[in-house]
Order: sequence, then C-alpha cells, then structure tokens
Amino acid sequence: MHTKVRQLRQLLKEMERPAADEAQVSSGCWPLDAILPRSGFARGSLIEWLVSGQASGAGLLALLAARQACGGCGILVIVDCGRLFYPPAAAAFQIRLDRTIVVHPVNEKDECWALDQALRCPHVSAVLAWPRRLDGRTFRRLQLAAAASGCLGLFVRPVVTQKEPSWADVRLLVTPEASRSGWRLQVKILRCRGHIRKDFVELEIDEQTGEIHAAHPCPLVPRLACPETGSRQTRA
Amino acid sequence: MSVAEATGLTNRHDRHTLHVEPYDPSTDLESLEKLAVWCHRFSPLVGIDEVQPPETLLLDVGGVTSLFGGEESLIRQTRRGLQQLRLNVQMGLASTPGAAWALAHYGCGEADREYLAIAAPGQPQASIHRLPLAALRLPARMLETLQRLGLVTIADLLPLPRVELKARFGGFLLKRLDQILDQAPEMIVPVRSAPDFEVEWCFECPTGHHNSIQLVIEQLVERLCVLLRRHQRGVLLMICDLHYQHVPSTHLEVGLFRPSIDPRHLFQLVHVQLNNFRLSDFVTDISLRATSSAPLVCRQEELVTTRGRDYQDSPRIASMVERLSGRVGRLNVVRYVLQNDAQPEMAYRAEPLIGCRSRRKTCSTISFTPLHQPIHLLPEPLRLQVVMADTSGPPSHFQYHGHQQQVARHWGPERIETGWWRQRNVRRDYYRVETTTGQRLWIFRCLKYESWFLHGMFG
Repeated sequence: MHTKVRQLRQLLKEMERPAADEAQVSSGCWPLDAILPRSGFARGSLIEWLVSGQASGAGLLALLAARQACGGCGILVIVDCGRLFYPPAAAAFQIRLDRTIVVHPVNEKDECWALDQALRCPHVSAVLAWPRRLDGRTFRRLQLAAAASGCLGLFVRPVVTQKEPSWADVRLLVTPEASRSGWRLQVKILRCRGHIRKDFVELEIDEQTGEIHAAHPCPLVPRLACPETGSRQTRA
Repeated sequence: MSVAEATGLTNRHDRHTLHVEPYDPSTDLESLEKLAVWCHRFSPLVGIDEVQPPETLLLDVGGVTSLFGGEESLIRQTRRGLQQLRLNVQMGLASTPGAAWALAHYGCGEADREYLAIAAPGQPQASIHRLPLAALRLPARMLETLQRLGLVTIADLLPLPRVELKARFGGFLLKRLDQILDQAPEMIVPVRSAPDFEVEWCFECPTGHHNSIQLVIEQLVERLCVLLRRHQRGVLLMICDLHYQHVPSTHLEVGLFRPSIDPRHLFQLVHVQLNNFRLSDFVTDISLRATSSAPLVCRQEELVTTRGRDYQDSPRIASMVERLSGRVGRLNVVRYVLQNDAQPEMAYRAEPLIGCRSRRKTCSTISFTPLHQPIHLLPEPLRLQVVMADTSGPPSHFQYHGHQQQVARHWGPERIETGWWRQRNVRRDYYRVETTTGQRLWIFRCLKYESWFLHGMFG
C-alpha cells in the first residue's frame, strides 16, 4: 500500500515540476533554432512573422513551427479570416487535420476575439493566424492570454506593420531570395528576448522533400575552433 | 446507383440543372424519423417499417379516423400535409401493417390520382390476393426461388400446404403470409419525439432594457436546466426567441459541442451573442427551448491526463468551440476532412464542429509531396493579366497585386482533367512559378478558355 502511495506521490511530483524541455519548442527548422537564444520558441509566447506578400514562405515556416508545438497530439487552432487555408497542403507537411480546428471570423473584431479565446485555452498547443491590424492593447491582451495558458501564438503579418508596437517575444522578417537550387528564404531576427547569436539566417527548402536546411552551411574552421572539439582533441 | 448511371437516366435538358449529393443511408433514416414525428398529428402511434432500406412509415389510425371525418378525409389531409412538405407519397390503408404496406407498394396505380389503395372493408383479403409475391416483404433470394417455381401472386401461394412451405422456405414466409392476412400480430415500433423542453417569460410591460432582458434569460436558462435534469438530458441546441411588440420576433441560436445542463455555461453562450445583438423593438415575451438534446454522460475526471486522447473529450476545448461557434457562427468553426478528388477545391470538406454528425467513414486521398501544392488556395481562381506570353510554359511576365511579375523559374505542367461527372468539366495545366522577387505562386492555364489564373500562394 505504502509503495503505491509513494509511486503516486512521485507521479504527482513529476507532473507538478515544470519540465525544462516542455517550456520551449523548436521552430521547426534547425538553422533558425541555432541562432535563437533558447534554441527555439518559448511556450506561452507570441511569435510574429513579417512578410511582403502571401507567397513569401513565412506562412510555411509558421506552419512548421505549429507542427512542432503540437508534437503529434496537441491541438492546433487556425484563425483564417480570408478563408485561404488549404488543408491538403498542410496535411502534406504532416499537420494532423483531425486535431486542427479552423475558425473563419467574419470581421477583424471577431478575429481578435477568436484569437483571444483560442490563446486562452490551456489545451490548445498552438494558434496560427494572419491578423492584419492589431492595436497595442489587443496585442498585449493576446500576449497575456498566451502566457496564462502556455499556448504558442504564431502570427503572420504584412511587413508594413513593422513600425507598429509589438508584444511578440520574437519578431522575424522573412524575405525570399533568388536561388538556383531550392526555395531560399532569408529570416532576419528583428526582435528577440535574450541574447541573439546572429541576427539572420538563410534557409533553403528542398523541392522534393520539403526539408529545410541552411543555405550557407557553417564553414569548417569555426567548427574546429569551438571548445567541444578542442576538448575532444585533448582527450584523444 | 452510380452517379454516371443516375445522370444517364435524366433528360438531356435536365442534366445542366441536376444536383448530385452522395447517398447517405443514415441521413435518410434521420429524415424519415423526423417525418414520423411530424406524422404524430394524424396518429398517436407512428413507426418505421423494418424492411431495409427503410422507406415506409406505418401509422396506426385505429379509432382516430372519426376525428378527421372518416378514412378518406384522413388520407386526404395527410397527403395534403405531405405535399406541402414537397413529398409525393403512395398510401395504403388496411387492417394490418403488412396489408397496408403491400397496398401502398403494389396496390396503387401509376397515375398521380392513384396514390391510394384501400382494402375493401367487407372483404379485405380479396384485394390482397391479387398482389405480387414481392408485397410480402420477402428477401430477394426467396422471391427469386418462388418465381422460378411459377408462383407469381399471393393467391398462388395460398393453396400450397403450409408444412411443405415451411420445410422448403422456413418460417419467415409463413410469418409474412400470416401478417398480411391478419392471422398473426405485427408490432409497430413507435418513433417517439423528444420531449419538449421550453420555458417562457411574459413581461407585464414591453421592455427595451438590456439588463432586464439578460436577467430574464438567465432565469429562463436555470428553469430550462431544471427541466432537462429531470430527464437526465443535456442541451445540444438551444433557441431563444425574443417576441417584439410590433415587429416579427428574432431568435438567438446556441449550439453545443457536448450536451450540457450547466446554467452558467449556457448563459455565457447566450451572453456572447447578446453583446452583439440589437433589439428591433420593445420585447413583450421571451421563450427559450432546447430543440435538440441528448442523454447526459457522466465521466469521472482522470487524475493523470493522457496526452493524445480524442480532443472531443476535453471540456476546455468543448467550451472554447462552443464560445467560438456562438460568436462567429456554427458554420465558421470547422474541421477539415480530405476527399479523394483531384480538383483542388474539391479535395477537402469542411465539417462544422457543432451540430454535424461525424462521418467516421474515411476514404483514400491523393497524397503528394510538400511544396507540391500551396498552403493558401484562393476561394475563386483569379484571372491573371498576361503581359508577355511564353509558348512553352507559363507567361514570363504577368500582373499580380498591381505589380508586374517576372517568372524566374517554373515547374510543371501538371494536367488536372476531372469533374466530368459533375457536369463541370475541369481541364487545367498547373504550374508552380517563382518570380524574380522570390514569391511562389500556383497558377494554371484553363484549357477550355485558354486563359491564365492564379489559384494559390505558397505561404
């Protein structure tokens, strides 16, 4: 009997302890993780992707981040005011449509309200939206809602909103670039809480597999200069 | 029957206006049950015949015909009511359900006027004997065997020894024979309408005071929950009617993800709608009714939550979906199901999360690699203004968003030729194009009109 109680006590302790790896989530592409201070995004925060058009690839990167946040069994809420979301393409990127709720608000007021409701729900893992206008007060309210529930909010917004105040933890500017191989995107960190190792990264999306890798892999010399490599050499 | 076969049966002129819906037996049964409930105005006992697929309603009109002015009058009133519902019916009236079924199916003539067959009061069996054996509601294989033996009508079957019939065809044939001849009882399994859950409030003086109306609705919700609790049922769909002094009444509709009798939660859902609601006039009375309810399911909360279980079990998610549906509309909170269709706009189906029965049946879908199709699809393809055409592929220059775009790279074509059975033949050559600014677009050439359209954007 005592053993059972001890086991149960242990289980409750484990449940109550904030898991370090659960507090953050990968962005879905490792080159971007490599330059982010926490190697990803913090749960309960808002991430803003700024783009110059609907075909610049930011929505795709946000979708991949949402997939990581859901981790196969979480709930994804997509707030799609323009009714543009195309489910078969999302399914091709391993988004589970049976665990995806799509909301089509009819106006901007309802869109903000729907975002607030979805971000406030603790059982929702990620919320993906394309809000055009967000005033400072609404943005702050959404940030508090996400912080209260631990939900990751991913907003794809036009680049013209860059000068507007933002309550997002991470603000990224996505610019497509000409390339001869895959689809090349430059992701620049405009704002990020914590230390930034590098302010931009160039990504390339593979045409066939959809996998993302760095457009310019790290050169060999800096890799040899890193302390881990040195210590290994010492051990050898 | 396949769609092509059904289309072939229609006239050539009607084909363009032909509307095609997939066959769903469960929806048919649901509609028949609703019709059975509607028929309670003519009979206290209405049931659905057990023959598959269900298509016949059985009404016990014993003792009620005098209330409608006789049998003929009852039949006339029933038919008129059904015609108002745009239903053409065949009717049979007899002393047993089996005989009435047989007369309705095989006793009526082809002409519109001959929609009714009534067994002669004095000698009911005479009108039955001439009917074909199919009127006995027998399985197809048994019917085939009987016809091979040269038996065509019920009268042919009657002189045969019962012992031998039982030995050859089993007891079912004799049971059906006895039922139609009123020698064996047949039960009508009644379809019962859900009890009415309705509460109302009449104001002494018409009011336009928002707070008073909210307070009344809150009290009505509590009263409705008490009513439902007695029957151990929860609300699935609740309608609040506001009746005005001079103008027609308006209503608020609240749909729920799971049955609930929590008055606080139900009132919150009404309150969400009341915030955006403008009264048309002074309100004289308010009624609140649960138009759809379901038995309450009590489930013990789990101590250790299991990640990955069905999200419909999560009360927090259910509550969120209900609030969202209440504010933005039931049809605007959906989940998507993929369909096996090559036409991009037909490759998925939206299912409202509230008020839509989940169709568990899944079909195989067309799979493709990532980046093959865009994550944004325009509801209607947008015609592109081609500035400079290219004979071998997509246009090298075109107008998009008011700017001239130059195509740097392209992939394709991917020919999609489908939809002929929908009478909307689609013939398109799709290209993925990358502009010199790095934008990825999904465009197609409509082979029918030889023009270019933008259909999607790659995020």
